[in-house]
Amino acid sequence: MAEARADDVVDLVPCGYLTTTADGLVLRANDELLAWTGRERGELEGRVRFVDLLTPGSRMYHESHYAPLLRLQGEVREVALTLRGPDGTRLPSLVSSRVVDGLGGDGEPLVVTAVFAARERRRYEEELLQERRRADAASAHLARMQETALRLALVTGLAETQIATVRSAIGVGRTAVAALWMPDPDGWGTSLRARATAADVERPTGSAPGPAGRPAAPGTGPAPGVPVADDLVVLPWVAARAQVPIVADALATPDEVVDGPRAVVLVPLRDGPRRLGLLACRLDDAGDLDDVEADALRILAHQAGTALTRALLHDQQREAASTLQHRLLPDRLPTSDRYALARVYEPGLAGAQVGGDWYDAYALDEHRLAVVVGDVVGRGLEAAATMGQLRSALRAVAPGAGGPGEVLNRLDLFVDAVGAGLCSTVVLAVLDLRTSTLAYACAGHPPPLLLDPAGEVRTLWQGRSLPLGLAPEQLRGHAEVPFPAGSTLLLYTDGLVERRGESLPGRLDELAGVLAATAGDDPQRRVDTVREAMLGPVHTGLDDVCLLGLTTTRS
Amino acid sequence: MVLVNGFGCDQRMWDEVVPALERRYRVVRYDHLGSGRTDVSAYDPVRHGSLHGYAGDLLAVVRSLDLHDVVVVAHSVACMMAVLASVEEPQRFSRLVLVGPSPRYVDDDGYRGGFAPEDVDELLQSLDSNYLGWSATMAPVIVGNPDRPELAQRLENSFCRTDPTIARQFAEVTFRSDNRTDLPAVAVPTLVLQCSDDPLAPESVGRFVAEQVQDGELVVLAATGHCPQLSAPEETVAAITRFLERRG
Repeated sequence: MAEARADDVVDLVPCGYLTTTADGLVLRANDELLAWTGRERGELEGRVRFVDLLTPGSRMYHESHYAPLLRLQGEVREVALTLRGPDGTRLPSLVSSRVVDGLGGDGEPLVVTAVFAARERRRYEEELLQERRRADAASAHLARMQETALRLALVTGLAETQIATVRSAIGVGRTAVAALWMPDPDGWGTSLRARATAADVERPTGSAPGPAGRPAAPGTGPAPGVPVADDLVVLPWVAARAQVPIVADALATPDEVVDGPRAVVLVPLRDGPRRLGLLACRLDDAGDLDDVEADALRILAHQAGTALTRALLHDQQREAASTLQHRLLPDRLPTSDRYALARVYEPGLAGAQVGGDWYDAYALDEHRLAVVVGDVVGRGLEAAATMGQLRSALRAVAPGAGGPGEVLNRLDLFVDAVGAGLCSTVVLAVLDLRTSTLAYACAGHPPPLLLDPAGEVRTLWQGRSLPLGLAPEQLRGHAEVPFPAGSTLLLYTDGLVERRGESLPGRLDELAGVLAATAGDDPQRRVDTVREAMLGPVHTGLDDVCLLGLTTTRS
Repeated sequence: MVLVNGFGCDQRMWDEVVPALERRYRVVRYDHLGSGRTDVSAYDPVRHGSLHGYAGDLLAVVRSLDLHDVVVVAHSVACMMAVLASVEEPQRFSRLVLVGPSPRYVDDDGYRGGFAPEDVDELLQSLDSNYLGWSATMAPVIVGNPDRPELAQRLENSFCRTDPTIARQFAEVTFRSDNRTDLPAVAVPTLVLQCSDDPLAPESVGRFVAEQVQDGELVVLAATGHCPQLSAPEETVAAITRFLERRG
């Protein structure tokens, strides 16, 4: 059988074949290639380069990768290039070439090229690529979701949560800038709470939507232009400027220059049916969101909604606890030109604002001032609650007939009736500014100290009776001492003097000495110095400490 | 002399011309981030989102080697990097040789860059579709195989292998850029080497570049195609040498 001539075979193979010069000029093309590209042999051979058969994009690839590789390596295989077919059709192909030395008539190297139709294969590859891109996007979204969850879990208060929310929005669904609106606590308006760009986070103070800084007008409900919607909404920039100008202003300050199209996505934030606020995102492109991106924003909204609800609750509780604690102690002490009051108050429980110790001072009438220091049994917030009751009760029974002892008897009745505050100690002193005398009664409480104008200290041991509620029927007495102008009375609780391993009398002597050394100090400095001298610079004890100093002005 | 290759393949693009050039000059070559053996972690998508970032890389090379009187020979898309670098620090550069330059590839009103915006999209598609970029991670595996020493010598296509993400952004940055307005600021004497029948840079573009710079000269090579340093190395070296010697 005669061997088929190479030339004939080349025209029969089911793929395109070309021989070209090293510069790409086509010398020979087989029938298959001509049929595909819809060309005549005479049009191609000797007239056209291989690169001219390609679409423009493939031409770029050919020049930047294919041709250099062929020169450097002598061979390239399986590169996806697209040829131009008849009437502008595209022929996705796989191309392999090899430089063959000595093939040319003068012994110069020529290039042999095989072109395989790869429409189906390329279509399949394209689908795979699409899937890969989708999978990559999905896993990126998942990673971001986890990051967001972690970020939101680490914050507690509302302000921190708002900032974490806008930060988490950057990059979700191509968000470049995010801003968060929530209703104001007083319910009148809605204001901008936090804003983030890729580079920074800003938290505006007060309610100032938009660069003009105008606060939302009271009584208007949600600020005009801050929309209410059920699901996320995408608005092209022009529409956003027209429909929600306040939002658009917040998302693009005048000094930010952005080339190209922009869009705004409005994402409602909810806690179940309750509307919490609005998250607005600026996209620096045309803004079409695919399903994956829109879902990512919805998931973020859900996470943020939960976190913001939790934060609101946390802040409310903290606010409540703080307010309640505050009410247990006097707002301020009375002031006068005839005397000065100074105090030190340090609860033993870390983080609490109150404990079982208390102090109080109030005018009984225009000439008499009552000062009190007390100590409820126990520690912590439960003792504080009891303390509040006793303080209020004492205030109620203090005016009226009788000296300090009789007042404390009335307090015994309260303790007995209510059953709170049993065994608490308290010292009540009443200063008569007309007579310059001090009457005092001590129910189981450490003795007050008196620093006279000459600088001498006396411990006031008189007027003592049992702690509250132990023997309510027993009449309590009181004692009186002169209180010349310029004298100081120091009331305190046992936290100041009690120390394990040291005797109480010894500590009381120490206290007297410390007080004496403060002669000439102003009242607040005096109590601060006493406290520091007795306990050191930092309060490390578990017990509450309270001091109250009363100094009358020298005439 | 600093040689800067364009998009696609690494510094080995200059292999055919380096021996001749080295006879007269100290030749420095480097790879763009993402190709060759560069440290990919130094790539910054923000900085390298513009040709200024790449110009900065060229300047960094020049500064770190403390080079002065530098002749930059740049190819294809790297030509604009050289242009920007010379505008920023003109005192470092004595000459520019731009091989197949184009300040803008996409056609504009009254300007023929040679391509439509969709063509750049198609290029990006090709980048995705071709394994040259995909299997960059496989190369170290092959090299590290002691049983197959012959493979260690010839890493298939390694000189045209770029980290795929970086390659994509590089292509977008270069093929979508427009540096026409930067050309008049070039004060350094400039040679434009234009190939006949260059599919990526039409002759009108080469002429435009030579006219727009302050001191430009156009030489049209007999070589065709886009890479004369590979297809016609002697002609390329001759043109460069003539230019440099004539201009002192």
